[in-house]
Amino acid sequence: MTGDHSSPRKPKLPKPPKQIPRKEHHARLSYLYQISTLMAARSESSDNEKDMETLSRVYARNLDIVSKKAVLKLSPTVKRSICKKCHRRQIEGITMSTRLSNPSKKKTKNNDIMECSCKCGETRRFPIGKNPDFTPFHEREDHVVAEA
Amino acid sequence: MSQNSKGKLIAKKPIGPAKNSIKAQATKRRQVFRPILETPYTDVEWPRIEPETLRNLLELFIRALATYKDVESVQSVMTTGFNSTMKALEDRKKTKPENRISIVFVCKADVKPPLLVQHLPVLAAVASIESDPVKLVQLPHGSSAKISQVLGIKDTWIVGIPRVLTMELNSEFQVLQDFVFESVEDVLVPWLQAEPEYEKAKVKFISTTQPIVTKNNQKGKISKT
Repeated sequence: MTGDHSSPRKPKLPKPPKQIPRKEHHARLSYLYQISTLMAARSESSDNEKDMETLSRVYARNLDIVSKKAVLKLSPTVKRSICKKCHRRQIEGITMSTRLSNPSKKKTKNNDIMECSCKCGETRRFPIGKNPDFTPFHEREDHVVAEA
Repeated sequence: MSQNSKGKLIAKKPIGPAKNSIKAQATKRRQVFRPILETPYTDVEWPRIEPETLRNLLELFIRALATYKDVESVQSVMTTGFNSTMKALEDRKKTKPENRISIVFVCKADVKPPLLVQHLPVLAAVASIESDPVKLVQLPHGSSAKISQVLGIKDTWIVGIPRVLTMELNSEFQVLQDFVFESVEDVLVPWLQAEPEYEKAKVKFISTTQPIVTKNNQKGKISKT
């Protein structure tokens, strides 16, 4: 077995960068995310509910577009909190509702599905019964090296 | 692949590109760090309860639940399932004050995966009205089994208690509510408040690999020599 990764002259692991690469883009996206959240949260209590909601959606859509243009990776937590179809910021109880469903006949536990549906009718389904110990890559400790 | 004496196909060990071939070079990867944008907000914390208080609370709760004998009467007054509790919390602002859920007990440690209960603090905060908050109580490990046994409903891990229960003559629930409102804090979501603070961008680095692309060995392009 030669030329393998496990060869003894494996180079030293590089250290994670200390500074955020393309900081301006990241800062912009983060700002868009926060302002979208703010508008969505305010939409419920304000008089012009529709305007606020529209604003929130505009910002969230911008976030999506900018992240694609700048080729920045969004964490699943961010991505899941914005509706794929209407770009509503998903806040529990305001724009989104969560239900458990089980389409199987015998109602076996490993067919449990968590359904997060947006106000617009779009539903995200998470088959949580399949592998209860599953942790997404951005939450795994061996994968995430550093935070900045 | 090779054939044995009976003519069946057997896979030989080294599958993949030969050493030093263009393909092998193309598949060489180096370790890189990929930045991903994380939510600027920190995780919403569940209201903290001291272990000793929690023990007393659980005892009170089970004693109160034990006053109901059969499943039907239980389900007519409180919510014992995930979906029913979620629905009650979402519609809370539209329901009459006496029918509103005031306390939600969750066996957080017994639920797998944690994704299922992650959104509860936010939902409780949204459903709360200033004068009429929702209290979220996380119960210790193993409490799900106890509650299920007392109620007679399998796999119960979430129970919503409406106001009515505590206002009626049922003194056990009265005691429970007083205790909870005294010892458990309201759920606070910083970014749901009227004027949240601006948070700095948070970026995580993820260690992955990337193919090494050299000048005369680009993917899809084979250099002419």
